[in-house]
Amino acid sequence: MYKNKFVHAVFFMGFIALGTASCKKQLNVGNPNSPSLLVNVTTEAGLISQAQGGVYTNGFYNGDGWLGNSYFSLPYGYIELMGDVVGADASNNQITTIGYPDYFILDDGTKTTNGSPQISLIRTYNIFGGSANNPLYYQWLNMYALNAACNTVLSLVDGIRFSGDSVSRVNTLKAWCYWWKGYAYASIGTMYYSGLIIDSVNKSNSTISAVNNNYLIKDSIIARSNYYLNLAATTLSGISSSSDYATVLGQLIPSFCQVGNGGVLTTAMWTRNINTMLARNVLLNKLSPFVNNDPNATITKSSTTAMTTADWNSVLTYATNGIQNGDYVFTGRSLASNGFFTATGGTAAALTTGPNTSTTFKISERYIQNFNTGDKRLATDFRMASLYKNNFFGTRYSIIDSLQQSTTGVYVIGNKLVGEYEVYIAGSYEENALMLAEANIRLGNIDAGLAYVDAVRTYQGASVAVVSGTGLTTALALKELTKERRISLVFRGISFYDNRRWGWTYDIANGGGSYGNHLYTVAGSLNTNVTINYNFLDYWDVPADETTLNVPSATSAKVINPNF
Amino acid sequence: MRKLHQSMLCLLMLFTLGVQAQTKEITGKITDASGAPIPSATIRIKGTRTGTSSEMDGTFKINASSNAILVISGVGYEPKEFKTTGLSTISAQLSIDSKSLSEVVVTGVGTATSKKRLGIAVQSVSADKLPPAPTASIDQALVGKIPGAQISSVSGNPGDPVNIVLRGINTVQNGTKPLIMVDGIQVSATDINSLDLSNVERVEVVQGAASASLYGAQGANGVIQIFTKKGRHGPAVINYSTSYSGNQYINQGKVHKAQLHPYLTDASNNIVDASGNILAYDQYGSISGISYTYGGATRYAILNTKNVSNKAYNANLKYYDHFKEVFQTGSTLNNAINISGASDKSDYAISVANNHTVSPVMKNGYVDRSNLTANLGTELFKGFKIRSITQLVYTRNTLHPGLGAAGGYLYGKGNQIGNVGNIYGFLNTSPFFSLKAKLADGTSPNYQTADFVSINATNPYYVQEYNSGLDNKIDIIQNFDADYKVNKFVELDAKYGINYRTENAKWTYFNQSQNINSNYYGAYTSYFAPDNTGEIDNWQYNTTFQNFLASAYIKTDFQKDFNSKLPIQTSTQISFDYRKNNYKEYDTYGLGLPLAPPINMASTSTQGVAPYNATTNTNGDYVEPFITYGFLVNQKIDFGDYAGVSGGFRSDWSSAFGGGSKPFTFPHVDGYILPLSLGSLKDSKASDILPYFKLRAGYGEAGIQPGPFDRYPVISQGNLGSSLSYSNPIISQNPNLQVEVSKEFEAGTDFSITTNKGGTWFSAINGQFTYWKRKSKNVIYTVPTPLSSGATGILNNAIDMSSKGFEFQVSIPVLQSKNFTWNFTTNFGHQVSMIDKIAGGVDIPTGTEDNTGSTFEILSAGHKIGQIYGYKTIRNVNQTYQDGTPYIAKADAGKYQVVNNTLVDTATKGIMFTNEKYSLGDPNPKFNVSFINEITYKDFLTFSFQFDWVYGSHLYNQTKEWLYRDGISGDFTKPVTINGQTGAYTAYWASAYYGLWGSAHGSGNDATKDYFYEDASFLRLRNVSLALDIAKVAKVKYFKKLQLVLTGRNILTVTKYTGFDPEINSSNANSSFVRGIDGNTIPNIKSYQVGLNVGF
Repeated sequence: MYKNKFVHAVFFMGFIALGTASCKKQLNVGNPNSPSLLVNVTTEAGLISQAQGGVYTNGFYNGDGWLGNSYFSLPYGYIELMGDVVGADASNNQITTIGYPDYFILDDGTKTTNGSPQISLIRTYNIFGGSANNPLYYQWLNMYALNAACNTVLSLVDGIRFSGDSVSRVNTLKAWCYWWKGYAYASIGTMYYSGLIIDSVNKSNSTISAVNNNYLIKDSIIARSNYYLNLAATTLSGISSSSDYATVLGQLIPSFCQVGNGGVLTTAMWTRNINTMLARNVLLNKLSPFVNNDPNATITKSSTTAMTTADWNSVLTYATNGIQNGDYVFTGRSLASNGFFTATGGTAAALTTGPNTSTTFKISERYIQNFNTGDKRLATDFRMASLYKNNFFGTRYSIIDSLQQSTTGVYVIGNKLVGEYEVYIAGSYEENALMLAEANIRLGNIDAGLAYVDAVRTYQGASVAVVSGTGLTTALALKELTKERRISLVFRGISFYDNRRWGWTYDIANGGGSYGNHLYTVAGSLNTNVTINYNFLDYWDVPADETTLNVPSATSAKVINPNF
Repeated sequence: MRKLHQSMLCLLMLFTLGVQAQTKEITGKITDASGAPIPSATIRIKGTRTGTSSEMDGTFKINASSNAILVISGVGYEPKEFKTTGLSTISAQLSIDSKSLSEVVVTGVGTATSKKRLGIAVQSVSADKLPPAPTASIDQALVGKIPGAQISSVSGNPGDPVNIVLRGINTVQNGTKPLIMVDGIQVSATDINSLDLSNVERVEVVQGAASASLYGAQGANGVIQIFTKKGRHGPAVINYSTSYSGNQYINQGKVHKAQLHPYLTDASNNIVDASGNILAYDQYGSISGISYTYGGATRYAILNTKNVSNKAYNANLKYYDHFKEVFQTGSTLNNAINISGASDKSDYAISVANNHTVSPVMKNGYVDRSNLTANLGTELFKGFKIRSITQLVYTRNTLHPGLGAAGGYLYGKGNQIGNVGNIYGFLNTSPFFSLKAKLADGTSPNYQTADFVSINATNPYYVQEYNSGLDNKIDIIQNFDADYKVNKFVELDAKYGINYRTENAKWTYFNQSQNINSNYYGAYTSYFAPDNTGEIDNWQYNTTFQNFLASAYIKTDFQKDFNSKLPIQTSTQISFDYRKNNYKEYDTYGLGLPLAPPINMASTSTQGVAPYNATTNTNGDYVEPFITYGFLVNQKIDFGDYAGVSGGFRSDWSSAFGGGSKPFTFPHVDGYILPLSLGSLKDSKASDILPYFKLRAGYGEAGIQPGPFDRYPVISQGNLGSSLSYSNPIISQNPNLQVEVSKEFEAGTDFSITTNKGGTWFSAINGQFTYWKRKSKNVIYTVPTPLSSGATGILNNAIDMSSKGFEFQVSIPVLQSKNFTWNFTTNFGHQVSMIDKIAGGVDIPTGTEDNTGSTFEILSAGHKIGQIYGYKTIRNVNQTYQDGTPYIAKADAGKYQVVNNTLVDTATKGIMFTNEKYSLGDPNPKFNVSFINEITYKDFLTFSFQFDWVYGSHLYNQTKEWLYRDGISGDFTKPVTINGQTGAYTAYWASAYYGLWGSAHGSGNDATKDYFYEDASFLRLRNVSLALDIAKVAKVKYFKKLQLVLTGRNILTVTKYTGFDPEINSSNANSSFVRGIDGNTIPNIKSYQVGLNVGF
C-alpha cells in the first residue's frame, strides 16, 4: 500500500511537470486581431497602408469623436466659430463661448458685455486632462499625431524593397510624408504661440516619436513647415517615372476621395499645391489690418507683425505658381462606412446643415451679410424657415440640405448626403485666386486683384455683377475681397485666421474690432451696424496636456502667449 | 495490478454487505433543546452509506446491526452519535450548533476543511439564507449577505450585472469583478446572473489575496464559489416553486419635472410667442415661438432675475408626466422544479427553472431565462467517485436597442450592462410635450423641440417604434469530477470543466424615411447608419473556456496512522491548474432597409463588418485567446483541535505576461489558534463562557492578469473605403508588462459567547471579525504621454495602491423556544482604497472617457480612488481661493446673501461657485451593514426581513444637472427668498447649472459642482418575506410542503439622496474608478412578489 501511494504521487508529479512543459509553447498567443510594424509594414503594400492610415486616421480622425467626428468638424469647427461664420449654443466644450465676443454694441447703442471673456475661459480650461473642455487640445493632438505617423513611415521607407522604379516610388512616399509634415507644422505654427519640432521616431518603438522639450516660437514652426514643403517640392522634382509615381499616389489617396477636385495629382499639380501652402504660410501669419474698412489700420498689440511689401510680393510669387483652376487638390469625402468622417457629422459644414433650431452650429448673420445682392449662392444654399434666437448668434438662416452642384450649378456649402460634400484639407483654387487678389490689391493692382474675386464668384456660380473695372477704391476692393474670402472659403479651416489678420478679432482698444455687422436680436429685429469687440487670443497657448508631461526646457519659447 | 486491486475491493464490499444482514429495527424521535421536533434530520449508520431522514414530527425508523453507531445530524445542529447496543428506541436531543462551527468550506483552502480549522476568513451562505430575488439571480440574492463585501445593484435594467467589491479596489483597468467558480471549476464564459438560484446549495466567498492566494494570478479580486444541489439520501424529493412579482423603478427622490413654468403667457394662461400668438404643435410635433416671460425667446433668459416658475400648464399646453409615461410596472414570473434523490452509491438532482422578466421601461421587451441542471454522482468502486454537473442556460432578450438591449462591442465577454442610451432621452424633453403624442400619420415624433428648450430631446417611444432587438444566448457549463481515495493517505482528484457561451444579438432599425419629424430634423435611431433608412446589426459572440484541475491530497494523522502521541494531522495539496479561454466576436451590419418586408440582411443595400471602435479597441472581427496555468503546493498542519498552520505557494504562467514564459509565484501562509482549547483551559470556566474562540491570521499574494494583448505592440488596422490601411495606435502596448500583484495581511477572530446558557432569550453571541490590509503593486494603467509623441498614452505597471478595512458578522439567537425562534445576524464592512504612487508622478485623468457628462475623475497619488473633482459652492462671503485671496472684496459683501446654504449674488440671483477645482470627495461608502432577522413560528410560519444600510456613499447627480439645463427639474418650482422677495426664481436654480465665479454662463455650463454631489447614504428594506406552509398547518396529504410566500424587495428606502435611487451608478459594472455617478442610470426596481413552493 505504501508503495502504491508513492507510485501515485510520482505519477502525479510527473504529470504536472509534463503539463507545464507542454503548455509553455501555447503562451505566445500574439494578437491575432491587429497587424504590427514588424510583420505587416515590411513590404511596399504594407508601407503604403501605413502611410495612408497615418494621414487620414491619425491626422484627421482619431481623438475627434465628441463633436462631429473628424478634424474637419472639431478643430475646423473652432476656427469657423472664432471666424464668426457659425455660432453655437450647446454647453459642450466651449463651443458656445469660444466665438462669443467681449462685447457688442447694437444699432441703438445698447452695449452687451460678456461676463466670461474668451481669453480667460480658454486659460481656465487649459488644464491637464481637461480635454473635454479644452479647445486647445484637439488641433495639437491631431497635427502631432499626423507628424508622428509621417515620422514612422520615413523611418521605414528606406528599408523596404519597392517594385518598378523604386527611386520614384520611394520619393513619392517621401514627398507624401514631407508634404503632410509641412501641413502639420503649418497648422501648429498658425494656431499656437509656440510648438515643437519633432522629426524622428522613438528608438524602441517607431509608432511614437522621440519627444523633445525645446518649444520654439511659432515663426520657427512655420519655417519648419516651409522647409518640409520645399523638401516635398524638390523630392517631387526628382521623380522620373510618372507611372510609378501615379501608382503609389493613387493608392495613398483613398479612391473615394478621387472625385470632384480630388484626384491623383500630377507632380506639377502637387508642386502648385505646395506653392499655395507656402503663400498661405506667409499670409495667415502676418497682419493685413482692414479694420472698419480702413486699409491702413494698425493693430498696436499682437503676437505678429504686419505684412510688408516684400511679404505681399512673396505671396504673389507663390500664388502665381499656385493652384490653378482644374488642378486636383487634397480633399476628403464621406462614406457610408469605412470613411474617415461621416456625412452627417464629420465636417463643420455638416454640423451647420439643416434647420437652425436643431443643428449644432448655426450659420451666422455675419456670414450671410457678405453676399452681394442677387448672389445665387445665398438663394440656393440657404433658406429662411426657422428662427434661431440667441443674443449674439441669433439667425434667420439655415443651410438647405441635399443640394448638388451638378444640378444647381452653384457651389454647395453643406450637404449631408454620403459622399456629396467635398472638404478641402489644404489649399484650393479659390483660396489661391483670392490670395492673388489680395496681394494685387495691396500692391496697387486693384482691378487685376478684383478680377480674381470675379473669377472665384464665377467659379462658384454666384452670378453677380463683376467688380473688376468698376473703379473701386482700395478700401472697397478689399471689402469685396474680405466678403468673398468669408463666403467662398467657409468651412475650410481658415475663417478665424482671416478675421485675425484683418485685425477684427483684436481688441478695439488696440485698433481692432469688427464694424458694420448684422445681428438678429432675440426680439426679432435685424441690426445692421453692430460693432463687435471679439478680443480673442490671437495665437493659442500650448495645451496643458503637452506642457504638463513635457515640461518646457529652460531655453524654450513661452508656451503661454505673453501678449495676452 | 490495478484491476486486481479493484476486484478485491468489490469482493470486500460484497462481504461487508453479507455481514450486515443481521439487523434490527430502531425507532426514535429527534428534538431540539426546547423539545420541538427536528424534521429532515439525517440518521446514518456510521461507516456505511446507509441512512434515512426524520419525518415532520421528528420520528424515524432504521434497520441497523446491534453494534452499529448511529450518527444523527441536522442542518444547524451539532451532530450526535448513539451506539445501538441494547437499544430499540432512541430519543435524541440535538443542541444548536454554535454558529457554523461544523460548517465545512472548500474555497480558498483547497480541501474540505471545517471552519474551525481555518486560518483565513471564508464566508459561506447556504441556500435557505438567500432571498427569492425576482431576478432569480445569485448575485442579487447575495446583496448584504457577505460581511465586508460591497455588492450593490447598480442598474435596474433587466439582465444587468451587480457591482461587486471584495476588500478594496486593487486594480484600475481590470475592474473589481471577482473570480467566479461553480463546484470547484472556474466559470469564465457565463455570467453569475445567468446561473439558477433555485439549485444553489451554498455560496462561499473568499475576499482578499490572503485567502485567494490559491488562485494565483487571477485571485486578487477574491473568489465567489457556488455549489449546486446534490441529491440527498432517501426517496425522490420533488420541489416546485412558482412566483410572480410586479416591479416598479424606485423613485426615492420623487424626481419629476416642474409642474409650473416661467414662459410668456396671455391673459388666459395660454403659452404664447412674443407677438401674442397662442402656441400649438406643428406638423413635426414641435413648438416654435416659446419665450420666457422676461428676457425673451432665448436660452439664457432663464437667468433673467424676473422669471419665476409659477404658472400652471392649464391652457393650450398641458403637463405630461414623462416618468409615468416611460417607467411603467414590469413583471417577473419564476418557475422552478427540482427533483432529487440518492441511493447508496449514486445521487441525482435535476432542476428546471424559468425566469421571465418584462422591462418596466414601456414594457418594451423581456428577458427570458431557462435553466436546466443535472447533478449526477456515483461511486464506481470503493473510493472512486465520479460526478457530472451539467447546466444549460438559454436566455432570450427582446429589449430594444437604446432601451436596455443586449449587444454591442465586447458585450459577449459578459458582465456588461445593456444598451440603455435612449431611455433618458426624455430627460431633456420639456414637460409640455407628451411622449405618446403622434404625428398626423400616427407615427411618433423623435425630436420634440421648442426652439431653445428641449434641444437634446429624444423620444423613447420613437425608438421603441422604429427599432427592435433580439438576443439569444446559450450557456453550457459542464463539470466532470473524478475523485479517487487511493487509501487513507492519498486522494487524487481531477476536475475538468468546459464553459461555452454563444450569443447572437440582432438589432434592427427600420427605415424611418417616411417619418416627417425624422426627415426634417435629421434625427433618427441608428447605430452604424449615417441616415434614417435603417440598418440591421448582428452581434455574434462565442466564448469557450476550459479549466482542468488535477490535485493530489496526502493526509496523515500521527495518532491514528503512526501511533504517535503527537496530536498532529497534516494535509498536503499538490495541484496543476490549466485554464484556457477563447473569445470570438463577429459583428456585421447591413445599411439601408426597404419600407416593406422582408426586412432582413438580404434586403439591405450595403453590408460590412463592424469597424474599429475606439472605446473597446476592437473591430467587428475579433478573437481573444488567453491561456494561464500554474501549479500549487499547499501544506496544512493541525495540532489537535487547538492550532494549525498552513502555507505554500503557487506559480503561474500566462499568455498575458510580459516575456510570456516567465512565471510569477504567489506565496501564502496562515495559522490559527484556539487558546481556550489548550490543555487545562479546555474545561475551565472561561471555555464555558467562551466555548469557541479562535484567533487567526494570514498573509498571501495574488494577482490580476494584464489584458490579453497588452504586451504585444501592434498598429491599428482599418479600412478607408476599399483599401486596408494601418495607423499608429493612440495607446501603445508594452512588451514588458508584469502581473499586478496584491499582497494582503489579514487577522481576525471567530468566537461564540454563551450569554444565557440553556435560556430561551439571547443564549449566545456568535461572531467573526477580520481586519485586513493590502497593497497592490504594478497596477497596470495607461500612463499619459505627451501629445507630441503622436500617442496619448502607454500601458505600464504604473500604479501602487493600498487598501484596508475590517468586517464582522455577529449572529444572535434572539429567541429559541418551543414554538418560536428568532435569529438575528448583522454583517458589517468598512474599506478604504488609496492610490499611493503613480509612475512619473503625474496624475492620470480618466474623466473624459466615462460617458458621464462632464464629471471629472483623476487618479492621483495620495488620494482615494474614485474621487470626483469639481467646483465648490461658495457658502459665505469669506470664501477664498486656494492661495488665500478672498473671492469677495469686503466692500462688496453686502451684495451677497446666503440662501439655502449657498451664497447668492442678490443682483443676479445666482449661486456663487469657485472657479478652482477641488476634490469633492470619495463616493465610496464608509461602511456597509446589513441586519437580517428570521422569525419562525412552529414549523409553518416564517417571517424574515433584511435591512441594508450603506453609509457615507455619495453620488454625483448628473441626471439632475441635465434637468436644470432647461429649468425642467421639479426643483425649479421651489420658492426661495432673496432680498426679501420670495419666488421660484429660475435665475437662482439655473445658476447651479450655468454659473461659475465671474461668469453667468458658458464656462460653468454643466460643469461638475458640489451642488450636485450628494450624500447617497441609505437604509433599505432589501427584503421582507412572510411564508406560510399550509401542508404543515392543515396536514395536507401527499404534500411535504405547500408554502405560500409573500415577498417585498427594496420596498422601503430611507435616504437624503434626491435622485431616483441612491444605490445606482452609471459606470460599467465593476469599474474601479467610475464609482459614484448617477448619469442617466436606470434605478433599481422595487417589487412585490407572491410565490408558492410545493414539495412532494
